[in-house]
Amino acid sequence: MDIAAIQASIKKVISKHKTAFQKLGANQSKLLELGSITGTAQHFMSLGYSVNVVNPSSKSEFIVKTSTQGFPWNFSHINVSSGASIFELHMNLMVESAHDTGIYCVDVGVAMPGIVPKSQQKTPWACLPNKDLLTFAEAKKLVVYPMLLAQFIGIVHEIKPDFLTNPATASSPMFPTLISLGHFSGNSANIVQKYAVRQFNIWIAENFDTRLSKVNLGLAASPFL
Amino acid sequence: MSLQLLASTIEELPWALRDQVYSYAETVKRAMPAIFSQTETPFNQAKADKIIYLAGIKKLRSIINSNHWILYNSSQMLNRQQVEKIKIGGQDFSKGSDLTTNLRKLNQEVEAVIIANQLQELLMMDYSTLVSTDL
Repeated sequence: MDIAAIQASIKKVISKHKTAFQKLGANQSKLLELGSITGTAQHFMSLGYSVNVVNPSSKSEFIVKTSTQGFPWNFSHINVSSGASIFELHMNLMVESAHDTGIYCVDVGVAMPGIVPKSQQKTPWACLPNKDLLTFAEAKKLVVYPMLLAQFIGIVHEIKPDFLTNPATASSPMFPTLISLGHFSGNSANIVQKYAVRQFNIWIAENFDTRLSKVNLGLAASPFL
Repeated sequence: MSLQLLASTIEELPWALRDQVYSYAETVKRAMPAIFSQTETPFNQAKADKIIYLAGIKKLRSIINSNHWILYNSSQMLNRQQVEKIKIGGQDFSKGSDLTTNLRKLNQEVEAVIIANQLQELLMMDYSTLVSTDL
């Protein structure tokens, strides 16, 4: 391995693509938000759901919501349906706690149809009632380390605790999912292996980019399974 | 030494990316003695330095590659839904946009460097395997 040669080549690429690197650095989180909703749609397609993208302004422009700011009607969402089973996928959706009046923002919310407003409201819209959220996904551009898993379990406990306590949630088309661009670090893989034994109905989608790529190449049906 | 070399390699990256690459390599550096010990291999500083440097390259490649594939795959899926443009925070992320094109070129060039330096297999290996591999 010729470290000097590698260093020279990498430095050259970095220098040549300075602007591209600056843009990439500024947009990493945004790209993950985009990948999370399209990956969720891919998952529903793998279950036989049909997908319909709904855009706010123009039919051909997909507008990504990347923060808690902004009203849902100003951004795109995706409808998924299979027979009588219909859901809406929304980005950065404000959701009521399962336990109190707390409001959380989930990166991808899978909502019951017709609840999230599609146009400006006379009274301010605060959040989706908890009962109208089927499930959700959280995305992190991190490796999956044990405390990240513990944090995610806490989020599920606050928003959709049934997936941790009620075995009947096993029939849900999607479990609460932690999307991560990184791999399992430390003893994370061992912790995740025990979730099934503990009857936790949650998914951990580590190496999410690789998973999306496999779906695109036809090597996997869903990026979550 | 290896971290200094890595820092000098990536000094022109924007801070956010430089920090991700450097922090990852630092984590690998801290784990090195344990990795050598687990594989029952006597600690070898020169080899550890090479592995730490490789870890930085691995992270840099992963950042570029993952973002390229997320954008590519999302575009493919949305294009099948007749979506022609993707806008995030007012910026254009559509197929053919500057960002998409530049990211694709960047990914191709980094992959070319990896192939030219025969790093493909090494970058796929876990660190305990690298410890027992001739570098």
